[in-house]
Amino acid sequence: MSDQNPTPETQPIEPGGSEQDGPKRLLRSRDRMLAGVAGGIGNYFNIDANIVRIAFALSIMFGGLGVVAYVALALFVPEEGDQPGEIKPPVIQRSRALGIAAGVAAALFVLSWGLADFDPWPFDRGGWFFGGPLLFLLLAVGAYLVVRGTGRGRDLGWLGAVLFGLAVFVGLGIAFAVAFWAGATGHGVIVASLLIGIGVMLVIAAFNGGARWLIAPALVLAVPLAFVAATDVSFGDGVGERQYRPATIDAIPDDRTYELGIGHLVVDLRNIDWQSGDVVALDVDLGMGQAAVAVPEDLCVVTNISASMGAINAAGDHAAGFDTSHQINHGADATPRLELDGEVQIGEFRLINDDDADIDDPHPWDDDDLTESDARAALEEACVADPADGEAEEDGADTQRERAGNACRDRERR
Amino acid sequence: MRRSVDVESLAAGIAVIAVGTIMLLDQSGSIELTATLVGALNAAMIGVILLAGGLGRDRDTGADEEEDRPER
Repeated sequence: MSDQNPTPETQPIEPGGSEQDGPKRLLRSRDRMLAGVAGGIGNYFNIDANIVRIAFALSIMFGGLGVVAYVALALFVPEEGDQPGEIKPPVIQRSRALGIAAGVAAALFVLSWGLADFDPWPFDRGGWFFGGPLLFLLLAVGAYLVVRGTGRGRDLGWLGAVLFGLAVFVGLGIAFAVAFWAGATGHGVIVASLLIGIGVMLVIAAFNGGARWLIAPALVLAVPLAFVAATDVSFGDGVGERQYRPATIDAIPDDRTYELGIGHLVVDLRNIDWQSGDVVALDVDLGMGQAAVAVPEDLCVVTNISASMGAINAAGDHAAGFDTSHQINHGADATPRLELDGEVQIGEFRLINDDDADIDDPHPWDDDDLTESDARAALEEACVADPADGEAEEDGADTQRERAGNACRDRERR
Repeated sequence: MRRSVDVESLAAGIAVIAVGTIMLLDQSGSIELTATLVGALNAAMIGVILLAGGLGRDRDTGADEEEDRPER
């Protein structure tokens, strides 16, 4: 089996379609610094190629659109041949493997970026250009490239190839989701067994002509199962949006735990009237998604937060990657005090120590009132014990005993 | 004539069986995998498949060229 397309390396210009007679064609130039894109555009518009190069360089500062455009043109635009009048086909048509690789890379990039931070038009954040509209466009291009790379593209036409490719992606996506769901609901053994079964079939098929198409379903099962294995994410703890805003310490669950399998978990402790002597040890566990805990500015918080795969944004401190953790104020004994044990498997854990910040604001530290360094300093300062703390703690303990006594008397009266 | 082995399928099959077995052990509670280890494991599996694919393709291309060569 050959990897090469039957497309010839070079092709003569059709009669009447020469550069002299026919309409002008955009071709990558042989006078090149990288891929000849700027030179080709310069020739096409009859301008100096250096002007185009400068324009590409400047475009990097405007969301990176120029980089995307350059790569696309380098892949899709034909090239001037060695002989006058010769045209080499676009890079993407010269190799089936390259077509498939480019398509898969585009799809993976789009999916990973899109799922990580979907924003339809992120110019306002100064980020790269890749927004929602481009996401779908790139996905369609990826689908087209994959189908074309398999050799079916010519029979289907470009629209058919795009639709067929998208259907394949959707099918694999559903299989991916099912494998993930199965793993996260305690059926990982079944998925792993299926994976081994596919491996055995591949080995047997290798001696009977091969069955390379089985590699795709194997990867579709292996990758989500790997996520589950790495993170121990579980749907058993629930899915969706959970918001908890206890008004008193007693309103916090007895096991002092808030947990969610997948979704958005919000624990806002700012409504509690924290008294000196109050000490709460709280567990906040999330499988996948975002967990946000909000505390009053003057509350001493001792953190022990970990993320298997994702980010921790705690009072202005940032940490991201695999197996990251965040500890602050360890050993502090000031009161009132929250001892927060947070854990997120995949996603983000946020700790916001501001009385006014919106807990849903993804960038609470962008406000003028609260800078990242202020937030960190406030968190540390809240745990600095003053000389009156000892007495205060005793008073607090007395107050708690008094409250408990009052509650008992109230119950007896009833 | 001896039937040739499809190297890509064979390598992919062995890699998938290895990864599947490790995943099975993890899911059954026999071992505990970390995120870093799982990432490396999957990267290795994909690397083996791509490498075998590349080597297999080179061989295929060579075979094609051999077939195309006129007999003397």
